[in-house]
Amino acid sequence: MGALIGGLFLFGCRKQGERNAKAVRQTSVREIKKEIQMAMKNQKPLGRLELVPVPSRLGAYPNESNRFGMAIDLDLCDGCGECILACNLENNIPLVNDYQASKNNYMHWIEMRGNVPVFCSHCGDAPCEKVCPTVAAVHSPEGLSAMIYARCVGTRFCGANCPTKVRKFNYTDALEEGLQYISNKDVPIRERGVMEKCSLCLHRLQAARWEAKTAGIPWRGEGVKTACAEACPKGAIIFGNWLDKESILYREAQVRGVYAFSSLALFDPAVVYFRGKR
Amino acid sequence: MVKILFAIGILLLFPGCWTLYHAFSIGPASWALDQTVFWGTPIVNFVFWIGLAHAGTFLSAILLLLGARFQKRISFIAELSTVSSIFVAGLFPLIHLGVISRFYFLVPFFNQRDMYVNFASPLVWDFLAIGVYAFLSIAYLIVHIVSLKHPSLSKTRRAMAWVLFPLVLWVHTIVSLDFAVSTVPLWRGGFLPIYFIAGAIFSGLALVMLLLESTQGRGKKLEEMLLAGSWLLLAFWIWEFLQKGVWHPEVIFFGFLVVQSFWITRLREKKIVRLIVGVSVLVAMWWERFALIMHSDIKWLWSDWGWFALGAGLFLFIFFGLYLLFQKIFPELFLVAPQESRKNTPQRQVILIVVFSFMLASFYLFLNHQYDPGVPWVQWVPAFFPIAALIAGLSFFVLGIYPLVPKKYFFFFSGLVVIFVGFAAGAFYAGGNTDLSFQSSPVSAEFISKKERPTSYLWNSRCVSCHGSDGLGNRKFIYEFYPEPQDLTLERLVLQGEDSLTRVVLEGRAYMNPFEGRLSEPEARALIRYMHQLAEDKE
Repeated sequence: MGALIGGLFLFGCRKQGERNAKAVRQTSVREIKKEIQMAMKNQKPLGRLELVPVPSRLGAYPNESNRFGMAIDLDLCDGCGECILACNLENNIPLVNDYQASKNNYMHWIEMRGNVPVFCSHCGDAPCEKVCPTVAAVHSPEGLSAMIYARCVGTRFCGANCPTKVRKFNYTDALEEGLQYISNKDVPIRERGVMEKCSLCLHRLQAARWEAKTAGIPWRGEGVKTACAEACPKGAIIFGNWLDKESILYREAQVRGVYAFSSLALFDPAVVYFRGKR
Repeated sequence: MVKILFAIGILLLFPGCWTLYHAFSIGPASWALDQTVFWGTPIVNFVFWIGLAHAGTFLSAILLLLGARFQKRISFIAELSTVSSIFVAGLFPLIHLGVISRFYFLVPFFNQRDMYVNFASPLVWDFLAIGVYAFLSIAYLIVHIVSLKHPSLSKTRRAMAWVLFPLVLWVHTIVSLDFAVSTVPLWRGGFLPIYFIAGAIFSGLALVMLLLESTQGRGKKLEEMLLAGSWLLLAFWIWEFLQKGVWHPEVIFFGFLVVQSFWITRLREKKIVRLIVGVSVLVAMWWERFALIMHSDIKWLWSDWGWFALGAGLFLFIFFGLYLLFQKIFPELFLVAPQESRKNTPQRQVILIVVFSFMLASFYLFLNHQYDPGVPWVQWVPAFFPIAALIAGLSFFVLGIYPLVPKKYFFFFSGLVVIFVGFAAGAFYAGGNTDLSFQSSPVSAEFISKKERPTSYLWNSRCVSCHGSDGLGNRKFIYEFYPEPQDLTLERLVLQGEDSLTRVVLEGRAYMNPFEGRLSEPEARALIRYMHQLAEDKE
């Protein structure tokens, strides 16, 4: 276990300095917006949702006091796609070349399905992590299903095993093809051949945690919002700590209907959908 | 005929190698995949070729043990086909990887990266089982060849056949588990292992039949077995249809209906019909794997076609290359041999080796368990048998070969092998370089060193990781990574004095890191005073 947690600190071991120098061209925000429009025109249908219990403590970490998660309020969300843009800029998500675009193979961590944003649900009992041969897909004690890019060998077993197919594989070398827009220095650039997916803005959590640690105060996720939650004009995306009884996320969940994809319902997802009154 | 097929193999290797080069330089984007279909034609080809390999072992090892009469004539061809198919099969998973240079991450072996494989993943079992299978198949072929000159070695051959018999079933069970453990509805099913094994042996029989036709002549029993296999597979296809509602008319046509022409004697006597049936079975079984694994209407690229050239070309090249070579060196391999002796290795020796290999395999797993105690025991089980089989097969091999080779050479060669294995293990242990140049610093310097911040902020951000928030040392971290730091007792702090301690903070000492550049001198002084305060609080 110690090796696993130690591995988490390797998150982002990347030859970034060298690779940045090689980049021929950077794309622009305008191009990213255009790609998002294209992706939103070609939406897959939303899968079946079903009622699930409010996410609670992880079985594997009974003493942990945090479990981060998110909820998307389907009564508020109108599918504008602002979250996708914010996510792309926050996480340095590359554009894809024309060939991949023609196949609808976008790298966006958030994708619209039936005008509903869909992304990794950070399942507590994640099927992707069980089958990863190199432990590149791991679960953090705080409920994040994390990716250690430096460990990923690209067997793509996780992608094949994910019921919602939200994992994205880097088919192209974005830096080499000039498809990379580096907007956030805190997030590593992924190379060709590794898997990636929503990290629940791990770097923001980490920054807030360190600040709290530095100040020597207990921290349960205060002061953090994921990029998508921040950008949502309707405030439909709520980020929070499922174990913090004071958090808006937890209090909302008590009075709303909590839904998740039927295919994921048994895997204890931490990212859920709110709909209607309970 | 053999030379023509060898030439065809070489010709096919040209487009095959081009496809390989294309795949290595462009990566997985070079064949048909998208963001929902992650496993493409290389995996299909892998399952197909590894299945073909199994029939060779089935025909030579299993039928040797069951005492089937016809095996001697075909066993050599079957074994050669196994070795060639495994080589082809082993290539495809490598192609499939996203980052090929990191393939060694899948080896379940200690390493200085302190990264360990996930034993819950069938891919790790796969890697292990196929590696062992390839290794033992080659050893088995060598024993077969040597046993022609030294009939006493046929005992060893039988012993190794007993190891290979369960191993071949185990390997394909594990291949099927790649699919059966997933959450994909079409891949699930408890019947998958036996279904895969049946399919593997069925397709492999067709291949061996084709090879036999093209080299030595007809194998009547093979045709009968093919006929029986087609009915077995039909049962599985019906089973799959009843369970999942999928069926593929083209698979049933090529894999079942065409084979039924063997019932008609007049057709079966014709060589061309037999060849057509063999090829048709291969096509059906390829298509069956494709339908199972990709189950989507994703558009093919030219690379997907290139795998056929690569697989077939490489197979023909290796198989007929070795065939021609052995024909020159060991012509007696191709003669119908007299009844082979059915003497077994002495029972005591067998028991000793089995106990020894099980103990060694248990020891390996025990070491691994010590290394990564988080993984439950039950997940080591699939790895247990391949390792035990490797040790047992190797022991039989060495014990069999030992009396035949002059002592001098034996020690020379085994020394070479040990050195080579040592180098390989060492290279694996060291692994490639991981560049740690990407460093994100979550807490900005301004956050820590703003004027109004108390010194505790500095202490918390710079010193706590080793010295602990109370100055007593952060045991959890130190035990794993570093030697224990000094006890910051009040007595010690007073004795050393503020000036010299400031120097220690800035310039470092023994295991203490120098903090020059990360801390200014006044900050270091403030930290020393903070230490005093902590020590006073303690007392």
